[in-house]
Amino acid sequence: MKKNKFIYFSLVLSVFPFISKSENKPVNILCVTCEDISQRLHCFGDPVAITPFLDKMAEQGIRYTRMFTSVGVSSPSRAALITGMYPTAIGANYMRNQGLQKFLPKGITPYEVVLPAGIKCYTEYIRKAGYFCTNNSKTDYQFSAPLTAWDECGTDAHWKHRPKGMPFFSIFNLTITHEHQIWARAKEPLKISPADVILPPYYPDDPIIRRDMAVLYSNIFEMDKRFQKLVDEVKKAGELDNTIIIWYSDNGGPMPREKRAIYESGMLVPFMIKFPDHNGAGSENNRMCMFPDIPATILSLLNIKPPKYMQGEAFLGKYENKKERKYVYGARNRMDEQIDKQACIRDKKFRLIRNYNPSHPNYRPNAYRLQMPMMRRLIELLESDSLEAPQMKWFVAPRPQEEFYDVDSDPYEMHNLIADKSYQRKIKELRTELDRWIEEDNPRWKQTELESLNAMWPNRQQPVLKKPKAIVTKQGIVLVSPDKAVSFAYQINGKGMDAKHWFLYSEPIPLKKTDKLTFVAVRAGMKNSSVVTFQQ
Amino acid sequence: MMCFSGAAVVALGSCAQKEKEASTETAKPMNVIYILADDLGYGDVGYNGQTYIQTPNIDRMAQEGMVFTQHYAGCTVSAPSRCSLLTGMHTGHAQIRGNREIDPEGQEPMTANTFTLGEMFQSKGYTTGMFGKWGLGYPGSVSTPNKLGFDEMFGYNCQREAHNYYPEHLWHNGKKVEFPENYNLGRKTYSHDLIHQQALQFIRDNKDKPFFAMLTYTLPHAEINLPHDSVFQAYQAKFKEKSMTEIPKHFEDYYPSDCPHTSFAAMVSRLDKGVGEVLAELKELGLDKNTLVIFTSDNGPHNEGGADPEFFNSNAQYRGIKRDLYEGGIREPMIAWSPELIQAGSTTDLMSAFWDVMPTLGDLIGADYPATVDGLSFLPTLAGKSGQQKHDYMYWEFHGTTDKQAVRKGDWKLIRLGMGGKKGIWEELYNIKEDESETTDLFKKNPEKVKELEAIMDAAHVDSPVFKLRK
Repeated sequence: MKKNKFIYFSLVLSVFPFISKSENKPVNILCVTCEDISQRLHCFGDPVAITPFLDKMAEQGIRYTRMFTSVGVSSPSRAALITGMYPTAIGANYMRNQGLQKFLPKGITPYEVVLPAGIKCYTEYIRKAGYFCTNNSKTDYQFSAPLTAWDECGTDAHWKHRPKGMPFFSIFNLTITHEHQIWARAKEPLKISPADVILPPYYPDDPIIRRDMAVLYSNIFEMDKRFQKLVDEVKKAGELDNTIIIWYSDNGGPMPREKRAIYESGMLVPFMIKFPDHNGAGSENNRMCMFPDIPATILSLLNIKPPKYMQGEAFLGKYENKKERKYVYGARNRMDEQIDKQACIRDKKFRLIRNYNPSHPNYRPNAYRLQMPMMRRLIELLESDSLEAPQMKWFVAPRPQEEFYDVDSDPYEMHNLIADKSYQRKIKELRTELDRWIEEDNPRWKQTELESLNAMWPNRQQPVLKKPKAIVTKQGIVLVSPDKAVSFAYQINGKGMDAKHWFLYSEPIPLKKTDKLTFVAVRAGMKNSSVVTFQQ
Repeated sequence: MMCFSGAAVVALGSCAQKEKEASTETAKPMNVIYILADDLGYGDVGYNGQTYIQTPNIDRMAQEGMVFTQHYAGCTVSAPSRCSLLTGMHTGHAQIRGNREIDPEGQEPMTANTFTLGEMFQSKGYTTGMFGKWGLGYPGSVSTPNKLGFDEMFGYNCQREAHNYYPEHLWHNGKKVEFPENYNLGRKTYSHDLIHQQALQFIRDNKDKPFFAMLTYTLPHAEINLPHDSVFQAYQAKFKEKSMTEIPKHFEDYYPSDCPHTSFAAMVSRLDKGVGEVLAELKELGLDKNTLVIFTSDNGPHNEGGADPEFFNSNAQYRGIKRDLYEGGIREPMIAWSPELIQAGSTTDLMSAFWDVMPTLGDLIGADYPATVDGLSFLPTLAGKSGQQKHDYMYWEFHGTTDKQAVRKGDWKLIRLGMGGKKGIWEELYNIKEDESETTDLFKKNPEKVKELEAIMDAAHVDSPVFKLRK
């Protein structure tokens, strides 16, 4: 086991805003995300993990040790990551609403979240600021990726395709650590021996469980290599000293009671950032952060003011909120065909969970997850009465109405202190704040999914945007729509930067008399307007 | 960073400055209400000298706002005047240049890609509504209010239908609303009252959002009839007219007027009451601080269905009525009211017209509008600021029984008459400054001026595929 050589001091003051080496050149951002892993990296203190390249990033960058998603599962997390909003506030907390009917309960048909008027994918603001924005390739936003959100979105999307001199913001998503890879890659050679795995106390010591965990660590090792490849590409292009690197996981997990949970095991994710000048190298920041904060922070790092509606707050950059978050919040609803409702609030030390369906166990049979060998093994052991009490807690009903944990001393949240008299003041404080968060920031928490669906897609029909118009003004062609809160994408003579690319409309378009303009109105969750052709 | 609160030092966290945007954000957007009376004459309102009819609310609006003394309609009849208003163009460029009827209901439509006042407001996120008469495209055409910029529309699609104040149906957002009680001359439900209530409801429903409402009320267009309420009875006593004893069974364009002078006066008063209720609603909702209200009329006074512009001196000192391009047909009463923006009790003689409204309101709300509009914003005048651009000239053309054109440049006005008629074409020249009643034709005395204005007339007219100027 390598000796930990990282500096463990907490950064109370913020990192100074980044100034590029070439003073006037706008900085790029390379953002690498991976799926489903908790802080299972060597540089985050996991002795089992082998992650040399991410460790190197940590030596040159900053580890954020308290970055949380609001629920340990993909779609709601990614809805937050693309909007800067709590998923519950925008009707995006149901996992997932764009799914196949077979994964949806009876009565819910597939639908898309219609973002409230004015809320856009934050990358539109980055495109507007003159950046080439690419996403490779997972979206899963709870609505189809709008045409206006990305210059390129797909498996070919790459900053290499940018016009010369244009700065880039590129996301690459590594899928190799996803939950399903535990069974999909079960036969791959293991990098970690099952015997070396250290099991959390909620799992029994069982060979099948050990093996699945070893597959996980092997996938993480592979992910680490793929991360470095993406960084090397930037280096090869000579852009490394002008690029901020961000890396994080989209939710905790991927194992049972981790993924899909609002425990620490599902909400806490690893997050790192490296500045071109290695500002803060090797340090650890334990500021409380949540996923809605990430879009605000990325905008802030690019000197773009985060829009007023964003619930997330920047924790770095020009528009950093110097007042740190005191709390992070979790919320859990439907997971595929299984319905539950939980909310939680966590401060620096404690977590309070509210169970709205205490008569059901926390564990729900989820057809997708039952493909994982250790999930089936846990059920087997449960049914044969072979689980210890701590391992059974997840399966037991009724659940307490509330759970309260000292996460600092009890990181696996095995000891519910809700009845402990010495914590009553803290519990009251957290209850009050959780209630406030629901009332003020999440009025839709009180809706059912059906109500939410019908409000966004009346009669289950996707709203269709009306045809926009072009008007000739002295400044150029202005696009207008009778619908509120739309964005426009356009092409000139059938192309953007190429035949597949669409420009984002942000100011009057200079159009020659011989040019043909085609444009379309776009809004998340709604069907694009028909394409309109215009010529002067 | 240290903060002090009274005597105690407050903990860093609780008074640390949030970098977020301060509350000094942009002010609330201005709502706009545009009230367009139908066939109301310059002289039909109290503040312009009307002696018989009481219009206390309009008069008070004039005292509290800005009175325009040289504001012109888009044209001398309904549809082209409204087209000019909605599209920001004079009738040398506007699509609709006359009242062209489509059977069984409606008028000549505009094209699908027409950009309207309503769409301009929608593009800035306003909720828009029209209450009253449309007249710019038959039902089901591409040119109906909901398709061309109005989130809500209640009232008449068709100008002919609007001749009947007890209609068998109205339209609400493209759907027919039937009034069975009005079938077979039942004449129970008075359209204006419903339309007015719907307009008030729209204001209430949108009190927390920016809105644009066009109140295209049909008063006091013919038919000259209304419920015989106390206002009617008071006028009836004054004019000493006796009610009809027989119910008419046959009639031409308009249902015969019961006590024409009484009814006309009462209709104007009813219009006035509605204006008062709109302003009162704004004050009650606290919206008077951020709403601009404009009151005007679509063209000169009429003499249809029993209306008597001579008796009421509806055209004040001006010559002519509806369908004339003399001042009486196109110079309109106009008041702009906004406690926030406009100096109370002010007057302007700025030469302005309906086609100026799109740029004016566009500049007010910060919206884009086409560069091809003919209008010039009169927002500087409203706001009492400098930089008011002035028209070099104003132009009208009207396609009716005969076709007419007019140009006003500075003090001079040239009118070309008789196109398509049997008497041949002739022109008349007036100096509006010295002869605002257009009594003295100076055509023979000023050939140079005639030539100058003819050239402008020819340049201002662009051929329309739908409305061809006859020779």
